[in-house]
This record gives sequence, structure tokens and C-alpha cells, in this order.
Amino acid sequence: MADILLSEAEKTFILHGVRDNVRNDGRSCSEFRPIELELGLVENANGSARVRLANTDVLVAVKCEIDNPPSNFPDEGKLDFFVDCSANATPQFEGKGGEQLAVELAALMSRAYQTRESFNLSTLSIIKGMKCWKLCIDVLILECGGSLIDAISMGTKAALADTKIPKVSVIGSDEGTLELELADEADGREEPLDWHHAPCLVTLNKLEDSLLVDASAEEEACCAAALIVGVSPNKKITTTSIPGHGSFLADSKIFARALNLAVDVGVKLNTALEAAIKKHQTLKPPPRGFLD
Amino acid sequence: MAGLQLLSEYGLRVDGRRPNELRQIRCKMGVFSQPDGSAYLEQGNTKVLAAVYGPHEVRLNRSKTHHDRAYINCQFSMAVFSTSERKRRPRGDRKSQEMDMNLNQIFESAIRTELYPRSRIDIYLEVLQADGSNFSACVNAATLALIDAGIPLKDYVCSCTSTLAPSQGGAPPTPMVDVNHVEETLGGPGLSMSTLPRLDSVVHLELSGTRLHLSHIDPVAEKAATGAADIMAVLDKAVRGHVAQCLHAREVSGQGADA
Amino acid sequence: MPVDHRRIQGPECSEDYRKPKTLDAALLKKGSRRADGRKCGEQRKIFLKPGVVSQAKGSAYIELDHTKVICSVFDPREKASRNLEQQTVRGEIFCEFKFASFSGVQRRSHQQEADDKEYSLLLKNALEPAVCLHEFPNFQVDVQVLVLQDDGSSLAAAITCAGLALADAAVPMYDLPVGLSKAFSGDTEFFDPTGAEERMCLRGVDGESDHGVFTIGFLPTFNQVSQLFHSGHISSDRFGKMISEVGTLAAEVHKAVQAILLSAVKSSIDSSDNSKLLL
Repeated sequence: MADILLSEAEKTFILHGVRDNVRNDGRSCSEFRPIELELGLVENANGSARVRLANTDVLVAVKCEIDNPPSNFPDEGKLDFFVDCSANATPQFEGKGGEQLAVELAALMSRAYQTRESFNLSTLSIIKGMKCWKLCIDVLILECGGSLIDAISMGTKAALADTKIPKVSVIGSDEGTLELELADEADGREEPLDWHHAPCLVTLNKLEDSLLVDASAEEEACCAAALIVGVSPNKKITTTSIPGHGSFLADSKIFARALNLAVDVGVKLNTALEAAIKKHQTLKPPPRGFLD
Repeated sequence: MAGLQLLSEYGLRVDGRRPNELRQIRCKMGVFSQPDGSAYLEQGNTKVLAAVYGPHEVRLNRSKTHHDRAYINCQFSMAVFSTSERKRRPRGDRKSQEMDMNLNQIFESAIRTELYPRSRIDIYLEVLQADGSNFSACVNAATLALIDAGIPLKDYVCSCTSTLAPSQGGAPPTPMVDVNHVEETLGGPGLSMSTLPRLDSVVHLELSGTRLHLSHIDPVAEKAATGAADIMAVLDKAVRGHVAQCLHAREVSGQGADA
Repeated sequence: MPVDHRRIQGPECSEDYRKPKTLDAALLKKGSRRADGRKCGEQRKIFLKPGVVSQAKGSAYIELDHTKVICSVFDPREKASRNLEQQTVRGEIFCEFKFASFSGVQRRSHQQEADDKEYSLLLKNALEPAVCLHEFPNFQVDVQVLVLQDDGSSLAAAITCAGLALADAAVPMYDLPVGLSKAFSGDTEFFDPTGAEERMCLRGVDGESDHGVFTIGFLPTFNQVSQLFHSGHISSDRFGKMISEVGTLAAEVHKAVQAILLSAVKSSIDSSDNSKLLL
């Protein structure tokens, strides 16, 4: 992420504000910045979403491919995450500069979606043991302004909600090879995925005794430690991670406070996201993209 | 694709255009706040985002500093989901590197680099959806982003790709302007031309695809040049509109008093 | 991907005929012994040895029954970072974590795969708070971890092993990091899970809602949690319970590491004394 250089005075200013539960832009410690969501931007993909969280801009697209199921779980499909840090976000991402960050984010996302409760991979199976759907979830980071993983997780959930998988039927098997036929667009390729249990990841940044939700890039530069928590809509935690070089005191009270805050915020975020997606799907506004 | 003709008997192309019609161009400048200049351009279904950082100090390789002019660095990248078949690598393959070099060449001739010695200008392009004329759309988007960043240019750099529809029923082959993906892949020649329209000069010319007979080069090139000039009119209008909007916003917020 | 010239490549799609072992769900009954006879809160026997790799500045080898991990730490060298502008006052630890191709049932690639890269980052995050990075500005210390055999808790073993290797390499540290892991499904908890237990708890058993695997990087002296890596589906109060136990759970491992380090230092002092006598 782009390096922010802050002076001691600026850091102290942020710290004093946070102690009084007021941040630089007037939010409280547990408030998100305004989020903009748009679905169905990318025509070549089966589903897509764009999330704008203040300065952070992320585009997520889902493409479906037919693949062989994993050998130890023959009745399941596959989920593959790929994150691309575009150089548009910062010159440091030029060439292979953003690769490490991309690997970290992709690993976090695939861990959050690992369990059956977050995403049921058996819904992606076409023929047990032979063919399954592989969902390639591609994330393109266009601008970095803090809370990158939050935006990516929201975008992924929204893109999965927008994804429609074509109906597949088997027509004949010829000497052991199968012929699959995909339903035409006209014939209703509506087979939406079960995305309602997908988790949203929330980043909590620790600044002295306070915990900040959705920290801006300046606030992130002041914080000693961070905790990323993946929260599913039924209040369960799917993944946690401590990124960077910070550490937390092994005090169960601190963790309890942090996790309760994360679960609260996560559940609210999930509910708001679901409501926004439903509204988008009923109203079906024409895609504005970047032209607004 | 047997039976699919580039030009139907009524003189219409695959997407219903006439041979000398451009696709609809929509653009917006100042899309992102972090880069110094940014632009979004849509040419039909081809969607490109451009971001410009600079001029700034050369950081990585001191050896790349020029004592008398700016060092231009371009990067062309296609999103993994931009094509109908998923791309494995967004950038770094040979084709993208070739595009990087071509873009470098174009903008080194178009930017007034002598005004920024020892500095560096980065131009990053991201193709969100590829539907033909990707390179041309990138050049056009980069021009807008450079203008948004306030970097002095000799002229608008406008680019257009044209092709030649094979002759049908005795009629001579027709040159067509602004190709889309179907026309590109059907196997005809593709002449990509980037010009500085008002200075009437060509900064880049590339022929790909099949061969083009010498006698056909002139009409096709002329079509591309006209196409580029038409694109310039569209870009010019967009830039003027954007500047007017910015000025209006400044006046409204009471900053008009600044000299 | 560069071609591997040391091997004659077999056919592209080939798989091991064995499937990884799965656990009997009956073992989930509370109070029953685990497959290897341990109680639910019991750690496997640890074998630790520092200074096993002669060419490295410091090294360590750990064995947790069938999980075997070896770690080497090399001298600080100038940062290989591309950004010359980032001339910071901190050094860096560069971790490379790799499962050996023969470490699991399925053969792995000779190059780093996605989970190797992920574990490298997690290991780095776990070790960084323990190391005095300001002591070697602009330099990086390489930590190479190789898992020779994976039977569960390999990341936790790697954290402990890397901590001992860093101490063996005389890298200035605030504390000795210790790695712990715990798997649970429903009400049953397995401390220091084996591979089969890990896989079962990651998948979850039908009917049990909460399941998952924790890996914690812990600094015992300062009571700090440097890494809390978890995958699964759990409620937040589990965490509180886990965190409050982590101090006691780490104590045993920490004591072992300290004792081994002390005896290694003593023996090196003794041998240097002996060599002075010979002169």
C-alpha cells in the first residue's frame, strides 16, 4: 500500500481525537465510511461488482469454468481467488511490485471461504467425480485508501450474488468422455449461487486502547497492530489474522472486546450489504460504471 | 466463422455501423483522486482506465534519468476478466511488453519532455473490457489522463485502428474504421495509427494481421487518419467540458477570487 | 514456471493412490482418548535440537512425533528490496516456508505453492514482533523453513523452531516466540492436533456447528500474541477461552526451548574453554 508519511504532531492529533471517539473526518471509532456498490459492470464475466469505500476502489469479477473436481472431495466444486494490484493505485505496484500484497489478500480470502458454512462447494458439482464448476474470482485493485480487505470481501460477496451459472445438461457419453451442453442465454441461465452465508472481513486497527473500524491510510500509519476478522451473517467467525508486525497483549478481555466489536460491525455490514444487493437486483438500474 | 461477413450487402458491418462510422465514445476525466491525472474511456464496448503519476523524481534506477528531458514509463495491463476467455497473466508477457514499448515511443514524441529534465512520468493503463482496438483506446485514454494531470502536450494524441473488408461481388475492398473484436479476429489486416491531428503528423503506425497490398495501404491509412481526427473532436469536447465544470465548481466554492 | 531438470517428469496428471487418513467421528466423544492415545489437552513429545545445519549461522530442528521441521537462519545481508527510497531504520526478516515435496501424502511441487507463500507471510508476522529490527537497519535476515514431514501443527512447530534458530544465530530478540495450535469440533478440543485431526476439524462434522483450527504465535515473557491465525466457523466466545489458556499451554514448550538453548550455550562455552586449554 502507498506509504503515508506523518509527522509526530499529526499522529498525536489523531490519537487525541480517537481517545474522545472522534476521528479526523468526524466518524466514531466503529463507523464505516460511505460505501458505494454497483453490480453487473463487467460484461464478459458471469457476475461482477464494484465497491468504492472513500478512496479505495475495487472491482471484482466472477467467471465460471468447467473443471475436474478435487480427488479427495469428488462431489465438490472449486473456488479460486486471484488478486491483481493495478499500477493505477500506486506506482509501487508496477510490474511485480504488488505481488506480495496480492498473494496475502488472495490467501486471506480463500481462507475465509474455506468452510462449507461460508460457501457450500457441493452446489458447484455437475457430475460427481467427473465435472464441476470452478469459480474464478478475480479482484482488481484500482485505488488503495485503507481497508482494502474489507472492500474486497464486500465486492466478492456482491459479485457472487450477481453471478448466474448456466444450466448444464449431459447429452450422451461417447467412449467414456461426456458431452455437456450449456443452456442458452434465452433459455434462462438463472442459477444463482447460495451467497447469503458468505463472510465479510472487518479490519480492526488498534491505536492505544481504542479499536478503529475502517481506518483511513493516515490512521493505519499510526496504529501499532491490526486484527482482521471474517464474520458471517450468523455471527460466526470464519477467519482471523494479525497482519503486519504488530502484536496484541494476550488478555482475553482485550480480545473479547475486539471480537465483539468485529462481530457487531460485521453483522451490520452483512445486513446492509444484503439489503443493497436486493435493492439493486429489484430496481436493476442501468450500469453507470466510471462515467458518473 | 463461415457465413459471417464483415460487410453485408447493404453496406452494414457486423454491429450495424457504416464503414466510416466510429463507435460511441464516452469518457470521463479525473476518475480517481490518488493519481495526478486519470481518465476513463469507452470506445463502444472497449473500456480503458488510465492513470498518470508525475512528473516526479526518478526513484528506482538513477541510471534512467535524462539530464535534459523527462523519462516516460508506460505500462499496459489487461484485467484478467477483460476478455471472454479468462486471461492468466494481466501483464508481463511479451505482447504487453511490446505494447509498453510502443506507448513509450508515442508519448515520448507527444509530451513536451524538455520541460521536465531529470524527472519521470508514469502512465498506467488498465483494460477493463477488451472489444477490439484496445491499443487505440489506451492511447486515447492516456491522452486524456495526461491532460487531466496538466502535463503539456504538443497536441492531442489520437489513435484509430482500421481494416479492409474483402471485396464482395466485384466491388473493390472497403476500408473500415474503428474495428471491434469480431472484425479483428476474423483475420483481416489491422492498421493501427496514432497521430497528432492538428500538426498533421503520425507518431506510430503498426500493421498486424494479414498482408495488405501496396495499393490498399493509402485508403486504409487515410481512413485511420480521418478516424483519428474525428476522435480528436470528441476528446476536445470532453476536455473543454471538464475544464468548464472544474471552473464552475471553483467559482461556486468561492475560489474564483484567486488570481 | 522453470522446468525442473533434476527429475524425469512423469505424466502430467498423476495422483497418489492413497487418500489422506480421515478420523473416526466417534473420537469426538468427550473424555475419550485420541487416536495416538493422548488426552485432549496433551501436547505431543517435543524433540528440539539447535545447530544442526553447519553452513547456516543458526539452525534448529523440531520433531512433534511425526511432524518434522528444520529451520536455518542466515547472516544479515543487505536488503534485496527494490525501493531504494525506503531507506528505513528497521531491518527485515525474510521468511521462506516450504513443504518438502515428500512431506505429505500427495506429492507437492518443488516450487512454492500458494499455501507455502501464505505460511511464509504468517510466519513472518509471527516472528517480527520478537526480533529487535532496529539493531540491523537496512539489512535482512533470511529464515528458511522446510517441513520434512507434515502431520499437523506444522506452522506452530515452524514458529517454535524458527524462534530457536534465530536465538542460535544470535539475532537480537526481545523474546522467544512459541507456536501453538488447537483444533476443535463442536465441544471437543484437540491441543496440538495431528494431520487427520486438523483435516477433520477444518471440514467439520455434520451436525456440529462450530469447528476450526487455531494457530497462535505467542511471546511468553511479554504475554503478547503476535499471530492469531484461524480458519473455520466459530463464535467469538471461543476465542476468549483460547486466549486465556494460551499462557499455560505455552509454558511447557517455552520451558523446553529455554532449557535446550541454555544447554547449547553452556556446551559451546565449555568447548571454547577446552580449545583455549589446548593452545
